[in-house]
Amino acid sequence: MAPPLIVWVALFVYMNRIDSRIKQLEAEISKK
Amino acid sequence: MKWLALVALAGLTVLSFWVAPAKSFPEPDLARIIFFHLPSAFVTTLFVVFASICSWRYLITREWVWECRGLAATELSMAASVSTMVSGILFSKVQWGAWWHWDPRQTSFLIVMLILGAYFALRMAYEDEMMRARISASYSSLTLLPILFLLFVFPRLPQVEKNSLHPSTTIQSGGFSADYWSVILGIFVVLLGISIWVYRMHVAVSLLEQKVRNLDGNLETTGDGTPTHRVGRVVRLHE
Repeated sequence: MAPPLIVWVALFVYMNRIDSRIKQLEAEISKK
Repeated sequence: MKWLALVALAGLTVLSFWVAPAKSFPEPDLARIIFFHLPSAFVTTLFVVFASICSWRYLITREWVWECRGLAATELSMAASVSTMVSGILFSKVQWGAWWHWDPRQTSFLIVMLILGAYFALRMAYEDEMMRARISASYSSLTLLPILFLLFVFPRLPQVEKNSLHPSTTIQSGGFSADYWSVILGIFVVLLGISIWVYRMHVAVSLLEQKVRNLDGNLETTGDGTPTHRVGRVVRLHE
């Protein structure tokens, strides 16, 4: 049961990284 | 929403270990990887078709958003195909005794992955964004038919099917119980939802990065953010 759960956790981390990247880009755009 | 999807996926994973094993496999209990293998294969197919549609739309309209959508869809289809292949290889080791058999279905899916990989290799060959977009969109739209042939037609040819270890009529012959099916479909729905979320975020990132580049003044663009060919800016010096 552990391997698929590890994959889902990695997926969650990846989804958070995309979210952070979007926020970072939006902040950069609002500064310009 | 993210939390909900991940909790649903974790819950379905736990459930996948509780349903009664499917008896049509040599090792019924160890065939549970099907719960992840089949949904990944379905997601791969959906995104491959969608990527081709986006590529056609880009070639017709030349709107930059379709290029971003095509790229994101191809990335997701590649990720799902890797998941399908890895789970398939594990299934092959457990059920058929070896990691790789050069089984027709395994081999045709490997070719599909190579076709998808070539899309990214092609994109890396062009520095100019417009050329890159045009060439990769042309490639993606042309490869749809070969990919569909490899996924759906080739493995079902009679002379191929009879020599293949990969089951192809398990679903039609009712080899899965209702419980089994409900877990497979549940995982598929949640996985598709997460894939669509990731796809939309990829498109958003591409469009925002394009906007940042536009604001930096590196590219001349049309109104929708589509980069035109690079032009020199005339700078008038005051005397």
